[in-house]
Amino acid sequence: MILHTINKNGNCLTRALGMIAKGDAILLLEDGVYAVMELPQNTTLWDSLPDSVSCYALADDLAARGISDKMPPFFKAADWQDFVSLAVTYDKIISWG
Amino acid sequence: MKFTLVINGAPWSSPAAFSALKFAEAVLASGHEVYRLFFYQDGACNASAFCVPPQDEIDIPARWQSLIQSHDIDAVVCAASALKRGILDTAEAERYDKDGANLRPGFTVSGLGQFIDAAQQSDRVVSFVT
Amino acid sequence: MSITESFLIIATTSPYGSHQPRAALDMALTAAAFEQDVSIVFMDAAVLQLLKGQSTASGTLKNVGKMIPALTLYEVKSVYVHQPSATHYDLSDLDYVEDMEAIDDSRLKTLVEMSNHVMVF
Repeated sequence: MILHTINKNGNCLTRALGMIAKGDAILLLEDGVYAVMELPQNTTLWDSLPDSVSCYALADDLAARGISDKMPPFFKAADWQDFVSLAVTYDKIISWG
Repeated sequence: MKFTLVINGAPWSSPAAFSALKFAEAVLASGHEVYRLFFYQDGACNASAFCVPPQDEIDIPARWQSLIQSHDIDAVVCAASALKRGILDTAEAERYDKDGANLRPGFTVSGLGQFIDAAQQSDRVVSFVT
Repeated sequence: MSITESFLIIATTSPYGSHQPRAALDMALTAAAFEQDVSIVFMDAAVLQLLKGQSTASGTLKNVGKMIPALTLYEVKSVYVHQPSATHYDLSDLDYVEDMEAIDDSRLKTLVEMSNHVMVF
């Protein structure tokens, strides 16, 4: 099981989503957190996620960007220790950009 | 668990270096080990002793040095990346006849093989990319 | 260094817009030099790194296309072009600097799952 991190706003997310399997997890950080915003382009992407993929967004980066209250219900805010816990839980971490 | 972090971004130019720093601090706070920090590409700039950020910004290279020295972390800067970006230890400064060395204390310069070794020896590798 | 692990390098950027292509190639070649099991995939704009006829003589750029054959020469085990990306850029075998093995999303996903380390550039 893999933890996929996305830190940019753009096609890195699309690239990553093509490689995500059931039971993997996603962590959005830095500008990647903008993908939580409920916009048609983002909803299409999230609808294509396989089952049982846990989704997280880094709390500090949401707050910096003023979008802490914009997360859809299937996303959880993560702090840095949560990020470490995820890295321990999942077998490897892939940083897609 | 043993973690290796790969840092690919220069301080302040992208969020990568600061994210890596925060993650490294959290790894240690959680009781895990940072086996190696590997500074690659623009990440080499984190090892400069000559960065002077504005007073109201976090001094990322200084924070790295403090973390590295207080936890005795192996902090390796990729030699090829360092040379291109003008991050030189004393030996390289002499070899290339430069006016001064600027590698921060706590950091060492070595080859990309140190990353391969770290990947083999660590339980987890986390890359911070630009 | 007797542990052999599998490294998958995924290149995603065009050849001369950043130093990412060089960083990816250097990592693949280094891992192979340390006798690791290395695969590299050229995906998205990185398929443009494979184009033959890149001419950098006019400047000081290091020719990325000329580095591609070094991968198999220096024992990178597998060198792939991501077929959907090649299609996106309307590229075929005739366009590449050397013969490339194509990989589709399904095989790439398997490679991503199976590799010990996946580094994206």
